[in-house]
Amino acid sequence: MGWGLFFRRRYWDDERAREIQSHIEIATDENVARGMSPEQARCAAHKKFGNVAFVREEIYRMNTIGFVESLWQDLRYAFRSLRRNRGFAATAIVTLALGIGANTTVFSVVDAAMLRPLPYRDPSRLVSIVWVAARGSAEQVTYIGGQSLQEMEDWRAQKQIFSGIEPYSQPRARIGPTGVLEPNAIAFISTGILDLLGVQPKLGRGFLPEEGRPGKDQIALLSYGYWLREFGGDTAVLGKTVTLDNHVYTVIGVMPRDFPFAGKPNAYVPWTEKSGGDLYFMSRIRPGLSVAQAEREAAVISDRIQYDGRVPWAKMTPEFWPESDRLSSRHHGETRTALLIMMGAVGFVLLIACANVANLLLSRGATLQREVAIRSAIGASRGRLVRHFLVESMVIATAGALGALLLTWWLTYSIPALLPADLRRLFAVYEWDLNRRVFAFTGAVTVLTCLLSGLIPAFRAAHGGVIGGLVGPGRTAGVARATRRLHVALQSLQVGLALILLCGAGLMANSFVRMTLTESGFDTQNLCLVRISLPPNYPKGPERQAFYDQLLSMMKTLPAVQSATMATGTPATSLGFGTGRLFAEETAGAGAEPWAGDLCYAGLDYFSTLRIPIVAGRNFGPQDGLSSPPVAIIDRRAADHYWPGQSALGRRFRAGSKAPWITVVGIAASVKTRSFTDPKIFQVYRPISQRDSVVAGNLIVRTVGDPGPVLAQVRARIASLNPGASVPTAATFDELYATMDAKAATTPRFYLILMSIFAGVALTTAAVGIYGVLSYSVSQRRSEIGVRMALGATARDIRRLVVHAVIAPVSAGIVAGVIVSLWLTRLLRSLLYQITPDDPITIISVASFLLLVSLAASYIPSRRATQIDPMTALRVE
Amino acid sequence: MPKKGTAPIQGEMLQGTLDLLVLQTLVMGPAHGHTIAQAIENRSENVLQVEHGSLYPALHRLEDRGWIASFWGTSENNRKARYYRMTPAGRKQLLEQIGRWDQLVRAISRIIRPATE
Repeated sequence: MGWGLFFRRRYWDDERAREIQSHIEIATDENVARGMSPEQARCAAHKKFGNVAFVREEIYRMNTIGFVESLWQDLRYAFRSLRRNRGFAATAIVTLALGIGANTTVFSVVDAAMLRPLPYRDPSRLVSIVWVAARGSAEQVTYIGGQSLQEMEDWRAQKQIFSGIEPYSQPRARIGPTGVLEPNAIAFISTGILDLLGVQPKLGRGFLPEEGRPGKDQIALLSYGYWLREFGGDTAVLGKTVTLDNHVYTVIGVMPRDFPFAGKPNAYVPWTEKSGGDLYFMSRIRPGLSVAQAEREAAVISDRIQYDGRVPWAKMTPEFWPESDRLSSRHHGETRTALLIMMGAVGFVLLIACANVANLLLSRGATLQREVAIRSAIGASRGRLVRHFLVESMVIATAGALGALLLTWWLTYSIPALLPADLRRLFAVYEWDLNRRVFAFTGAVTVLTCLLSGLIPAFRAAHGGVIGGLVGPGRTAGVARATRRLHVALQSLQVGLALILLCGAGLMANSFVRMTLTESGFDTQNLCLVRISLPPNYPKGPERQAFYDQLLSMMKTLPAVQSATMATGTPATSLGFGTGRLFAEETAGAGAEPWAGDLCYAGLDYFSTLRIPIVAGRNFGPQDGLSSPPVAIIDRRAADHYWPGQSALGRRFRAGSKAPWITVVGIAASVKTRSFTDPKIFQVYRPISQRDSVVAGNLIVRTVGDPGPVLAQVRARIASLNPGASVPTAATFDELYATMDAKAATTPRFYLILMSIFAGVALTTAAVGIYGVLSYSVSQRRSEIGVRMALGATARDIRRLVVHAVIAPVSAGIVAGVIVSLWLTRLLRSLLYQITPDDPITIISVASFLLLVSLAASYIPSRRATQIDPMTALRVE
Repeated sequence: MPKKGTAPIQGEMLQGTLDLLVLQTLVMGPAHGHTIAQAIENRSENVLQVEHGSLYPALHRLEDRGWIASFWGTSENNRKARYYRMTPAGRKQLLEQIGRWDQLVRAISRIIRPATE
């Protein structure tokens, strides 16, 4: 029978009953007409008709769908019984809502970051060009962004590879009053970049080619979010003015909602050669060429590309990283790892929640023994009973899932506004929302949750025999032994999982603290960095070096300048350092693992200007020239690693089996560089005088007084030397460090906060679980405890009895948890700084903390146990 | 359970053909349940004894399939009664079922009385 009848089966039952009634009346009338007495007539009519109830039942059965009908019964029954046990229902639902909600939220972030397609035309052909020292090692990847205009022009000439290359840049992120990074208000994009991406503004027009010239560039395309926030989505915004980063722009359009380009600033303004900021470019590979083919072609011509950061000791090849594999392992390995770890962490939270609910259901199943016994005595099959309990779990899980969606919804739309700006920036890039994939995921998780938490308790509950159930629970030993074993196992599981999460959070907190406490390693007071960018048409090679030499000597004449030097790279910036693995001569075959070095070509006054102490050996001198043997100064960490317990002076190392040997002439103190989160990256300094090709464009100046006015003078001098030269960066090292720290700490802090929340939820849930099971077992063992007290057990004995019931599962859980977490926390390695995943102090403190919390959770039940009055407890029997 | 009549006919057989009989009865025009039951009995000269109750599941099924339609009306002796009438789909169904019935009867006849054929 169809659904139409199913939903109207009650109506049809009434209808047919009335019809049958009238049938019998008509028959009775006829019988009376034939001369029967009314009594006889009615009787004969009924006889002729047969069993009315039977007919009605048959019709009802025709209308119904057996499975659905009994499911409906179970559902109504489940709702009724959950309404009766509000405490139980609320605990279970809230627990699952937290568990499922955490999963849904993290999944929606993963979805936004990894799964959602990019809103560009053919995004797999859009690539970033990255220079890599050599393939095959994760440690050797270098340089994303911060590229030069010259490089872009060189690539643009390769028409056989690219159909278009367009530049964009972002102003250096600013630090807000609270010491955190402000989100970027604007991004500079070239006027052709929207065509390259294949995106049209949602409102208004895109940039015209002539608007990419200084003077015509005071116009802006608003991001969708900013337009909604600041203008309420008003279409009359076109032509209005908006002030961003202290500049006034005229609004010419609004970008579509889903346009994540350049980290989602508030607005996009035209890029010009004067825009400043770190330069990036977006390249589109010519149609008909695969990314791999394009990469091979680029490798062949890569020598012709003028690339600023080339590391002379290793062959650098360009790699093309498609936009579309945003979180591929080589591109965003750390973010990907972190997201997967978060996914795992919330999985644990959900497992703990499931264990908790399973415990609650087990206890509840035991109290329902009598009901189960009666139901099976009157013919309910075991399967029917199991289904009944599973339906109850499903109701709980579904209610939990609804709560979870509310929670996720709230987190998605409210939390970003509550976060500090730097974290909001991270969120804004992801900009997750609740879409079909998220809903499908929630549905799947809900079913899984229902089965995980409900299946075993349902079988346990339906298992109780008829006799045992009817004789009554609590009569003999309280809880069945099998049930008690399950309780213990689930408790251990909870404690173990909570321990793993706490270990993760503990390690991350520990590493975060270390990260923020690390000192720079040199004197940053009044120390400034000035980056100089010469116009693309400026002659290369010696002429450039001459320009810089001239500038440097000019600086030294300024009275406000104490000392000045040039270098290819500086600490606290991501620029100018090349990274490559180094092999020490003595260990070329075996021995110390080759670490990666941050290479910097430094001027003679580098160490004295930065005040980096040289702890052994000598500084570079005029004797280190192109014709003399290559020399280097390495930092102490490298010396201790490669030549432990001996002097590194005079030893040699090289970057590859064919590279020239370089002699160590000095050992410098370690400084905090951009890669300070990786302990395996050290510093290598080489003299600028031994650099043959490319020049150093970073001027480092220590001023006598306040750097502000001095920087203005420096800018003026640069302009006087060459009016076309621009100064993308002029900042004090304190500012640079604050930026770098904020940047470096933003991601760990975000994950630390998430991990702490998950660990907190896990801990609370586990504690509630221990408390709940213990309270229940105390209430089940009332009579036993009464007997013990009547026989002379003291309050201490009783308390010990109860607490002992906790110690065993908790210790088992802690031991198992430590073992598993030793194995699992290795995955955290890339997120940790100066702490190993098996840090004993973290593990021990986490384990003792968990033990304490478990004991605290057992306090109230054990107190309640001692307050049992033996007389009352025994009288119940 | 169907009761045995004076000239008992197998219950299951009746069950299978009840749809056909009901439809055939309704060819004459709309009728309510009691009339239909009596019509079947009378026209079979009481060979087919219908237990009136068993008629209703059949009516319910026929109505659900759209072969008959029903409405509330007033009976000859002024009682409210549910009347059934045949739908065009029912008419088609009736022809089909008669055809099948004839086939069946011929087949069975051939088996049990091969000589007289």
